[in-house]
Amino acid sequence: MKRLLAAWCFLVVFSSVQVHAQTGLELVCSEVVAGEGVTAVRPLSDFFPGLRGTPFDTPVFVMGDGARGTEGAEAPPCAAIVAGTHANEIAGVLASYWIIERCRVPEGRLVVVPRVNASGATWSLQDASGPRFLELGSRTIRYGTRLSNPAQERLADPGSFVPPQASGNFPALAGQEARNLNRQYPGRQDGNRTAQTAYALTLMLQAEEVRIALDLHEASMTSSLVWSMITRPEHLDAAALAALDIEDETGVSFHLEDSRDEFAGYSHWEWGKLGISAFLVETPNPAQPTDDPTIEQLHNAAAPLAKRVYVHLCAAKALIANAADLLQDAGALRIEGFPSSVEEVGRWLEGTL
Amino acid sequence: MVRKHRFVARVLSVALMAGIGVLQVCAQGTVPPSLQGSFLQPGYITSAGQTSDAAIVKVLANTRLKLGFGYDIAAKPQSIAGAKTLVLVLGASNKGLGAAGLSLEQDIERVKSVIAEAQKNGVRIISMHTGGTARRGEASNQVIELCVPVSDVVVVVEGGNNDGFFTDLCEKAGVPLVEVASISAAGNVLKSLMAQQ
Ligand SMILES: [Zn+2]
Repeated sequence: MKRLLAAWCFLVVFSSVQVHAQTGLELVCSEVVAGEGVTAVRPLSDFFPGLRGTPFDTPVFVMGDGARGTEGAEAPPCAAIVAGTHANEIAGVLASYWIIERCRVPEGRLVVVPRVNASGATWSLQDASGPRFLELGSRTIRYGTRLSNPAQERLADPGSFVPPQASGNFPALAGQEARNLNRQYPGRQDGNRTAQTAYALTLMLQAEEVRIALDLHEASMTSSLVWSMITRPEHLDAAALAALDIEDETGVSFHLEDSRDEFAGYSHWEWGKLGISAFLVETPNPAQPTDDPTIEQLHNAAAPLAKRVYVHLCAAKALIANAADLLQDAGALRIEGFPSSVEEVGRWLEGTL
Repeated sequence: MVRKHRFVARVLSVALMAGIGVLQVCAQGTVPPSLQGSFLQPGYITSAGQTSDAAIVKVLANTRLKLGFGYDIAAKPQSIAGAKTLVLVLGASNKGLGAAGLSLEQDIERVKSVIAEAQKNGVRIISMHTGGTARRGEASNQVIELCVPVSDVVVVVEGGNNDGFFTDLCEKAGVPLVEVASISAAGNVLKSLMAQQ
């Protein structure tokens, strides 16, 4: 199965490579190897062919082959874990890599998009011509930036930017925010590549009948968003229950924010409109907001990478379990293989697990 | 004040080591013995400042501890009719205020009216702060300064009182302060404050 998947991943990558020097498919497959829990790898361009062959095409890892939600009243739901929206927020990317490599889904389905904005991972604030690389044991990952790479966009930035479904009195954002994926949902078919990526992801969530979706982020140490979860008011209870579970497991006390129309274009607000229980999770990243390359990530005293990845994984486990529990018409979604301690994640990051 | 209660608890714990049956209750933490079991049901939870942390306190009290409290993040005076204990979850949230369509000033007026109703009816007040440093700042401090002096006890999760703001306010107002390390520990305090049914 593993060999088949590797071959599949290679074929997907190879067919894209022929069209373009490097797509996000190749980039992600150089950073993570699908484990036995992955049942299929699909390019996001399967859901919107406009992305095919571009640096914005990125893999969607499907885990478990559980029945779709429509097949029975108690069928387990499908959940989605999305990371790399902002390519400098690496703890979420690594948490999704853990899931792809080490988790299994015996009941229900999980789709994981570890680098949803792959273009953001192709450049850095320090060097627009290429990403910064972070060595982690036997793995090297890219430390990208918050926005898509302007050199890879099909349209120039507008003078100012308003998210696709913002209300009439929404204050315009700076033009470069058009390359911020987390302002572009639900996306635009005819927009820039970032908007098309948001559009493709929205189509994927609908096609996969996703009922619960997480978007994993990080914030600068002094931001009030650190250790927070954001969701629409109707899903606050699931987030609150998850906050208690996460505290029990990690000792970290999360606080909650509720999303509203001022969050137009954000994942949790726009995915929520599709009837999805959607949550955004924030851990602290000591290198933000400047992406300071001198900041040690792995053994950072204030916010060690293993702790951030571990908390993201505990948050994913708790949010999915509690949100699934609160879905009236769905069975349990079972995901196995989450880490049991921060030390375990540390050993995995260092390549000694 | 915190130190005093910790000291009392420690002295009591040591004194009770001999094997008196209430050791568990006293050793549980820093809840002054005179307050344990002294708050009556039914309880009612609302926010002061529209912090979503109120939702955490709600699931803590109702889903985990089965206390069956009423809840409205933006409760009005009439909401607490029949309640004997009012739990105020402290913290100003711009997003929460926006979601409720309230300015901070309007929410402060709402909280004042709920407190007045509680005082009129002899409803005792527990103030809780669970949001850590994220729920501290000028706006949050305004609601904290409003609620602490009218409370019968204040429960704060570590971090929220890093600067001793709650300690000072509680000392000035003569209100017992219980500081805990986690939100779930705050739940244990809440449970021990409530009279057994
Ligand atoms: Zn982010």
